[in-house]
Amino acid sequence: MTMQRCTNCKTTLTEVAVVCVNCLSREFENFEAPTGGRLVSWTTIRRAPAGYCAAAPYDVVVVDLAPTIRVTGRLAPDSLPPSMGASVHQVGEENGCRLFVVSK
Amino acid sequence: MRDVYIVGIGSTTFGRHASESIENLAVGAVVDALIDSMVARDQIGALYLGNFISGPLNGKEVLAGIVADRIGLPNIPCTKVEGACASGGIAFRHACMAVASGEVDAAIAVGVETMTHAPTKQTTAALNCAMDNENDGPSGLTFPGLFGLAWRMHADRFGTTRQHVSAVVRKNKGNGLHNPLAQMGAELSDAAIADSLPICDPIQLYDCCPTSDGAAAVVVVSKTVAQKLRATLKHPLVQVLAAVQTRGSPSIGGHADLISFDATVIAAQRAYALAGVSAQDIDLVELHDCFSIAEVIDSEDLGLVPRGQGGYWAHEGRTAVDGDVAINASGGLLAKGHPVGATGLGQVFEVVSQLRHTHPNQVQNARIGMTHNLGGAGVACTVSILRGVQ
Repeated sequence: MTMQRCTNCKTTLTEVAVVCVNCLSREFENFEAPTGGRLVSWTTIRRAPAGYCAAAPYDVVVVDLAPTIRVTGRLAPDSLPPSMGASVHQVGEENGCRLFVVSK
Repeated sequence: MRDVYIVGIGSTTFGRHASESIENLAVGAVVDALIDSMVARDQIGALYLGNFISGPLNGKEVLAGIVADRIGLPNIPCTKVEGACASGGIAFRHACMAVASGEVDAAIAVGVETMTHAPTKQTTAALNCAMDNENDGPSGLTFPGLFGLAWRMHADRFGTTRQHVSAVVRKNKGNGLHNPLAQMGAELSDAAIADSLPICDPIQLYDCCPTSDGAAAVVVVSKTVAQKLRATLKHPLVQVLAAVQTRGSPSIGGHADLISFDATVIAAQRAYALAGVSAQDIDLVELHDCFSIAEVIDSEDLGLVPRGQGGYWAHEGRTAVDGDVAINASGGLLAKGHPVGATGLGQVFEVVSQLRHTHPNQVQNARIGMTHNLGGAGVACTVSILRGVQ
């Protein structure tokens, strides 16, 4: 999975960053982030906001891909059930949302 | 900086006010606060109005100027401030700062919101504006969902159970039964809470605050003005020992740990230092229980309860009106209601009532109280510490 980081200080940055939060540099570079990580927490959304109602219920997850890379996403519908600390890996992206499954 | 005192408070009930405009709700609270304060309108030097979503839900802005105009205030600076659910607390702090700095001798802080007239989908969409939508929006996360994530982590690390968290709901709903300003007090069983509509696991309907209409206001003055008023006021003065505002991460990924909000921890530490008191000196707190688990987390972040013990303390009755520290004797957001922009000022109203010893759920010998108002995913926070001057 491609992510971006600061060329100057190597701080990992979100997709929407326009300056480095650490050194204010505007020079970024892409790098291959891990696709696998650890499930930090999850919740099953049963009352969804507009635009997401058809997908409900769905599991929103927080995943640590590395000690300094925490991302949000959703569990793919065909994933194994989640559990705290489970190994997960990204299987795709849908409308800007990372899709994960619990690893076997 | 100069000392600041609260000399007047006013509040509408929190709940449904379908027939009143948003500006008239605010006017009602401000006039009540002015009458309570005995401060003449021409003495007011500034007005700050906390509001979050009057634009999307009411199609109205410049509310601060409109409210001042409706009640004939002089041509003073009138400013609307916004920090999502912390908007009211921010308005309070700005009014205190205006007086403390010496810029003015008297100022009004008012908070207002009307939400119940709007369809749920419109309200949810408006409230979701408080998220970092570029980072967290694509996942379909909601605010109840954020606290569902936090609950799971708290349970995993500290053994917090459904029963522990239900104790928060039962306490606050029960407190709300005795507060005439509260929207939905109730006597609830653990089974009723656990069986209520699932919203986002593990959060059920009774774990969520309602949507509400309401307004609350306070008048703050300098020490010189307070001393002049003291002989004529029908109630004791309340001194503002600290009014702090901080920033935290707007996004989930920015929080080092979802069971704690940095903005609250730092605000509390600064407030204690400014006030010259410790957590053990706090007799009561009105804190931001937008969801039941939020009270557990907030009580720990404020240092009132040891880390991990928030649920246990609630279950053991240690946060009841007669407990070690009274948390949300008003009923909190869960029972009193959450008219977003008004909530922070509603908290100040409740704590001042306690320090005047006139509260319907009076904490015995209440001397020092605290308010805590949290906005967004923890992006804005205010903490104040108030002292009754008997």
